[in-house]
Amino acid sequence: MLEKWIERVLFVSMLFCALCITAVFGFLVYFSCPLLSNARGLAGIFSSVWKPFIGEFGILPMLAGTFSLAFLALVLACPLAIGITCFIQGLAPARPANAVRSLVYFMTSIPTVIYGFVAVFVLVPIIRDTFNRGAGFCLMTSAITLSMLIIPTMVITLEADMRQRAEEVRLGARSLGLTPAQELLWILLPCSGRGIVVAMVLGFGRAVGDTLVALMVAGNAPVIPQSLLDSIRTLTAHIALVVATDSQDQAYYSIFAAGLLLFLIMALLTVLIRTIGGRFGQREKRHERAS
Amino acid sequence: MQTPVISMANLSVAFFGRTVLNGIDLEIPGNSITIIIGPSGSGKTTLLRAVNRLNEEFAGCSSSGTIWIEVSGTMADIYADLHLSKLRRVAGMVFQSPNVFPLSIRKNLLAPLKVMHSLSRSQRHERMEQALKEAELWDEVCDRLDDSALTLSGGQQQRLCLARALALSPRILLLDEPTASLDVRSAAKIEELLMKLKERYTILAVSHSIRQVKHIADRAVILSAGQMIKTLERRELETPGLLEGLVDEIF
Amino acid sequence: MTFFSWLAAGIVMTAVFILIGYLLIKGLPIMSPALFFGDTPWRAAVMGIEPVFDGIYPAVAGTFILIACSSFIAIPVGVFCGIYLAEYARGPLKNIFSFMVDLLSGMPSIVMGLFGFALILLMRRTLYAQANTSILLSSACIALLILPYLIRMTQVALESLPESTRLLGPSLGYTRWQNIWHVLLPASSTATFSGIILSIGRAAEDTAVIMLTGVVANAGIPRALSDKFEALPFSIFYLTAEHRDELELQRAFGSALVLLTLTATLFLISYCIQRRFKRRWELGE
Repeated sequence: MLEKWIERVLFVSMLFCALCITAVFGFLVYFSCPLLSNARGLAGIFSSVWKPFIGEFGILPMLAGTFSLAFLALVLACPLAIGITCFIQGLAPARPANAVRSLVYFMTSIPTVIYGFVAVFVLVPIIRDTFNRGAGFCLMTSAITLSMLIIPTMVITLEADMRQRAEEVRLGARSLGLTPAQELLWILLPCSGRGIVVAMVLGFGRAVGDTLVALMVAGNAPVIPQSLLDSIRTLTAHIALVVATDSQDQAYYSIFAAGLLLFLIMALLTVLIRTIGGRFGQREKRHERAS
Repeated sequence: MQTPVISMANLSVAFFGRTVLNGIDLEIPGNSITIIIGPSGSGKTTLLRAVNRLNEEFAGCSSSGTIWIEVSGTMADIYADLHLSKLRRVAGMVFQSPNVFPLSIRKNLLAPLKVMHSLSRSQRHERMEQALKEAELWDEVCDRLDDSALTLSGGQQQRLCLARALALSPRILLLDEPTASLDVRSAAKIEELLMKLKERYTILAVSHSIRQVKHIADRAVILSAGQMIKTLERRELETPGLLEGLVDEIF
Repeated sequence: MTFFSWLAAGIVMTAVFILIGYLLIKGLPIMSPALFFGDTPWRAAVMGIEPVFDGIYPAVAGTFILIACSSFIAIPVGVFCGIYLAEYARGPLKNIFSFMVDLLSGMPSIVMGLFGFALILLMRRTLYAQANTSILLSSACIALLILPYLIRMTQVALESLPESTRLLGPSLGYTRWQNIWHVLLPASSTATFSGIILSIGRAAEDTAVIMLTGVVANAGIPRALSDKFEALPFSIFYLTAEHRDELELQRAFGSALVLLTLTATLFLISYCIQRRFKRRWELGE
């Protein structure tokens, strides 16, 4: 009797969570509806001009901002993440490898706002003085900062995947005379293709979803970026800025459209991860002894 | 007997202070099959792993005593005279359950070969083909070398592990219950293969099966509680009941 | 390749050291009761008798209250859902729920904030015209943010238990729930607990959600759930953008150091728990 009730309670909690995520989606759709449901609104939203005071609510510059920032951050972070994972997994002796590993794990506890904060006072002046153009708050600065943010996520994902595989191949590799470094280069790295892709998608997702770094460091100019030193605005920063400035109703619809876009992008990335990632290793276990 | 290929003197191995092998003196002649047999926990696998120093990969291991291996005509101390990588190429090991790498069949063999820097690309591929033929696997896989090794059957995977060790041109083969995880058919195939391989290599294996020992062994070493009880030659193994009697006494 | 990996490690480590070093250099000298309480004597401030105007104490208190409220909501729900997914859900239903949890975990925090904001807009139009953003709303949205972490960590902790442990209860005649309550939960408690600690850290550091749901630059300590509040991450952001003098900038550095210390401490606690647990496992082998 108690068993049945407990199962019901647990099921209801689960249902509640599912309802919440559905509600988030529902609200975003509901509030962007007025703008998206008519063709003029749709065209208006996807224009590349954001000038709220004259009635232009295009969020395309913000979409471009989000993608260019996330993409650039990924380009910077990917090689570093792979390099660090290899460092931890076999190319360095135990002491430095463990130290770096602990530090990378520690990096995940550093709040995003602090990355942005230090970037404002340390990185921005450097960029400003080196390039002598603009105020230093631009795509490049925010991409560098953001890449530092997503590297720990990527390293942890990749390292966990490699470590599991390393456990399986360790004895076999040792018995053939392979050192940990050789094991990494010739066995683990060739196998980690899928792991790298998943880490990249996760990193990209994290970069797309970040608000504070973009808000504090990217400049927030609502224009499509033409160069690395241009000031940009992301969808996330856009939402924060519009809510803060208390402007007209039309502007509010645009942030819901931005939110809906973000939701859809992340949903797509989630599906992508589930398809290619599928709980690492289980795909291969299905290939077990055939006959 | 002629000069032994493996020679152990007073070998003792302990893990976290617990003695697993106690004062083992053993000599293994070349080009023959020697099988170590004994109850569970008697230290058979530890003895095998002492030869290629694989015990050191496990935490808490401490060992004393000496082991010599014949390399290029002279006896070399495996600690003092041989580099660890070289030792493990000279004494190749195959494990109880096949542990192929999650790569293609081709890469499974090429990966360890890449370590031998003196080989050119074509030499590596030659060695790969040679090893697969020696392990009697070539005909079955020659047209699907780029398939994942995990798609092979158990028996095929085990032969792939054997080929992988053979590709490094070993002198000694260390086999840890090589047929334990296989069905009767595959096991028989491997046993036949071992009989052929012993002409070129010295084989030291661990087994649980008295039938296997009587079938293929030239010598049997009986181990119990970390100590060597007795060594039996081929003639004695063929004497009906002798081995079974000894085994009953110990187990 | 080896050279490159050392280079990569070097670059990132340097960046982290610069970050922490800079905060310590600029922030440590500012650490003092004045930073926290301004001109108000600390006992009076903590008792709530006198308000604090020029200190970060309200932000610190706000952060703690926020963590407490959101944990209060999220932890039971998260653990329950984790248990449900690990032990009760099967087949297509499990896949659907699992997918939804993944979706939730991928949501940018600003979207969560937007959800809370939308909730208020809706309530203003329909039920309750006075609805406004508050610490209650922020706590609820933060709870939603950390929920997927809790669910996943609980689920993984339970599912990673070895077969032998899972079969212990049934072999003694336990029902499913008894097995969970008496065997599985205690066995996985360390992992679940460290997951909870990490979630609390996540709740403390988030800025985007609270920006849209009730945090402000100056509000004192919230007396009721419907009050606005201050929080450390937002103070840092606000002061960086809008500091009017050197003193306010110093407060920003102080806040940053305090926040980093908070999240670092939570992280270390979680790390130590995991290390102790692992060591116990390894020695027992």
